[in-house]
Amino acid sequence: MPTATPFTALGRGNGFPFCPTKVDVSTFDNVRELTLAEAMKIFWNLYSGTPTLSYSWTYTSPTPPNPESYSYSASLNSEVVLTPDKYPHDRVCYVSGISLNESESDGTEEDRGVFLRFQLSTFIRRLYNGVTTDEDNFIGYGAFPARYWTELYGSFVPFYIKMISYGTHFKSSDWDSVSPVTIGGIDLFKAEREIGTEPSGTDIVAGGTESDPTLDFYTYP
Amino acid sequence: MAKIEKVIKGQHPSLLDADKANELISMVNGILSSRAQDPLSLKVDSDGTININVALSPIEVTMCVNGIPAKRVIYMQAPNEE
Repeated sequence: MPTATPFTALGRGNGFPFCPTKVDVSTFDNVRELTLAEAMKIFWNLYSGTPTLSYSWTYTSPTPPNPESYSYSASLNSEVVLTPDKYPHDRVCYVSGISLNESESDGTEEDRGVFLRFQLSTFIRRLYNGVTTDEDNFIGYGAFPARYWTELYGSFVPFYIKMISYGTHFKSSDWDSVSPVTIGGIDLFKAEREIGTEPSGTDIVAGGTESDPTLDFYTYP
Repeated sequence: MAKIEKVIKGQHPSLLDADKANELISMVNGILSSRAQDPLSLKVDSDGTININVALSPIEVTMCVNGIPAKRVIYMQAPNEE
């Protein structure tokens, strides 16, 4: 948990150096708005995230005349620092937020393989229960600080994709499941969606695991 | 307002010179009736010294200058404290 030097930032007078995008979430059935303090914690103080994500798939053709086998695996489990060598006060110049993708893959040079991605994001929204032109509808702040993306593909085409997003507002109709989760001490939702299925048979086996990422924040003396 | 000329010994017969006395009185009254608006305030001491106070506090802030984070000092009016 890194320590930063306290500072006073001259921003837009709203807690940020930009005007957050406004979103009408009145049609969303999963909304967990953040307080200003929580939103500022994500924007100014998010330091790093540590994913736990591991997938593999294998293919074995035992039948002559062309027996062959492939095996691909990738994992992400190292801490990803959002802005190395930068401190919270440097974020005064970010006009919207910071996003960082960390990827790991196996077999990308071929037409088949495993691709994993972990994304950190400090983008902040203003959430409204109704039209965003009426400030009376403002209910709090939104964010999607972390995401997982898993892709297993063969012949250039993914046969299995899994997305997991950690954030404040989701429509159940867009996801297979949405459930409450707490990461980095912030109450959010975890939305999961799978496209395709993990194959399991005599000649192809695929699968993997993931755990919720951890988030680390700057603290101040 | 023009400066009041100093009197010279032996050249000015008396402070009973009404025009000169009134000019002096008008200037002093003008100073005493001076008002300042926030964040300025005026105070006239008993010896006639005029103190001008500016109720602004320096605050060091980090701001974005031409796309680069930079520290600057800005002056902000202190809140009214009762």
